[in-house]
Amino acid sequence: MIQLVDLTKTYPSPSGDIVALENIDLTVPDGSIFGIIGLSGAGKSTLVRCINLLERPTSGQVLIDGEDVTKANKKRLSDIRRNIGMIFQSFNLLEQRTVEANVMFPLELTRHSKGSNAKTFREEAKQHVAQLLELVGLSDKAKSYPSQLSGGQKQRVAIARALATNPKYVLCDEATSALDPTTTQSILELIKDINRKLGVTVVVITHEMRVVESICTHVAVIDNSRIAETGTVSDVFSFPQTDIAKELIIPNLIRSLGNSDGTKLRLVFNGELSDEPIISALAMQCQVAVNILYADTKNIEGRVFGHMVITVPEGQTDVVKRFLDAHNVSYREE
Amino acid sequence: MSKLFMQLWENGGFWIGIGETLYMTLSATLLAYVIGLPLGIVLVITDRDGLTPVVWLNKILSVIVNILRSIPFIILIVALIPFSRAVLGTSIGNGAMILMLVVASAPYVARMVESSLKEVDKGIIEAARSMGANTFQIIVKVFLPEAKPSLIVGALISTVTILGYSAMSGTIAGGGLGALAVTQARPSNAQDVIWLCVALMVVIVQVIQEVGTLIARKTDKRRRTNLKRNKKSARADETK
Repeated sequence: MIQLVDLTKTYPSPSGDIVALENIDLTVPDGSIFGIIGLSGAGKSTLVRCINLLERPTSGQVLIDGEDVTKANKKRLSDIRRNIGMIFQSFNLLEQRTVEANVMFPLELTRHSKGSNAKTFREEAKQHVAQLLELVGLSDKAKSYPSQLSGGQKQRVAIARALATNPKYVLCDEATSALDPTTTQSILELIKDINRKLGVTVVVITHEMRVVESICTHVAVIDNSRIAETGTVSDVFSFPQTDIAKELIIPNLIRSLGNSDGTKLRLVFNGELSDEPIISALAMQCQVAVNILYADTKNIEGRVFGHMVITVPEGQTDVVKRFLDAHNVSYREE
Repeated sequence: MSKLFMQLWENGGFWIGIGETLYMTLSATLLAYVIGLPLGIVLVITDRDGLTPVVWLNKILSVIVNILRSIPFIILIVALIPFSRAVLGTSIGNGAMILMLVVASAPYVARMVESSLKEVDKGIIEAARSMGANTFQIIVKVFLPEAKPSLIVGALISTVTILGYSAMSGTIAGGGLGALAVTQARPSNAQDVIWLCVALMVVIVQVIQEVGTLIARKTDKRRRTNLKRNKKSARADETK
């Protein structure tokens, strides 16, 4: 489990300290894919770098399986980092090494601390690397150099490299932001696969909602150096509390609430209900002519979630509300 | 043909000159790298945004490097005569010249190394840190291999510069093509000897440059033109 406790990070500058993170409290449950979403400059990259101490927090604790990482000495920190793989937006592969040697790299760093002799180690490592390349679907590229690969392939190599030390955690820093939509989807599938097959806990930093939608189980919305909202994806997506979360999740909602008469209701669908023709039923059974202002449904974790904003003519609100209650549709008056 | 030219031609004086020039240049370059390479590495990692920032050390080294680099070589030679006498027991000849070349070029080499290492993508360094690599491992496994092509190009430039400096060896009774032109050909006004020395220097520089560039290009894995498989096959595989 990764826990951030009252974490603050400030950078000194001539015109006073710049606050990058303020009083961050966050718990990443084991086995989850935890999305941290926010706009550019919100502090999410700094946040993920505080987890493996690429950035040292100014105050607060970073607990990995209960151990405060900020108190670890250099050697201990190296060991902790070997348990936390990381992948980056710009891939960061070693350009002068083959794909195979890139994946081998993290293993070379630990060689000296291992008891087995160099030859057996080399054999085992080679086998392990071959397995990892197979896992990411790049077995035939073992002898290629990064400059011969496309962006998606480079990120696959980076994923294999991050997994080389059999880490318990993997951090993804905007891992798909440099990729086209199709490649993004295949990389996300791979990350999901790894989470399922290897039981690796994944922290995903992104500014794209679709990344969170397609793979995350939990999400934290970060805004202005603070955590605005956090919870399971279905909770946060169904009932975003803060303006920033609403803006990220249902970007057109606020605009669609513009100036029209009648009571506005936001209906929230979660799973099963989306298949039912609920609005048609409403219109026929209650004889109410509702107006749909906004509708958007999304497939998350195999269940359909959606928001719909309708206007109900004056005086008929109660009838509609009763109908919705009877059909187990959650709603909010906006 | 001047008398001196005939004489040098017959007793192999030109060959000796070439040999001495190469001897001085190559051994001075090698020794300059023995000092300059670690110095360059230290300059990079102790930098304010380096791996292990030690700002005061960085400042001191930087100032020393700058001072040595700003002294004209001909003056440095004179200034180093007592030093050479103390270290080598002599202040004349090729050995003394090598010592002086090393003192003059090591700081230059350090700057070349520094600039090569700074070209290495910061993201790659960060990735290595995230994997638990320590400073030594990052130097040996990331900085040096990743900067190799650039380091080779830097070494070429340094070698050619040191070759140029070595021509001043006549001042302290050293040998080589420079000394041949300045101390022997110049007094007897043997223009043909001077020009042959110049031509030989040009040829040496050309050879060093061409061979070095070839090596640098061969080692660099970032260039697609070096790679057997082309972009098309990479594209085709991407779809899976």
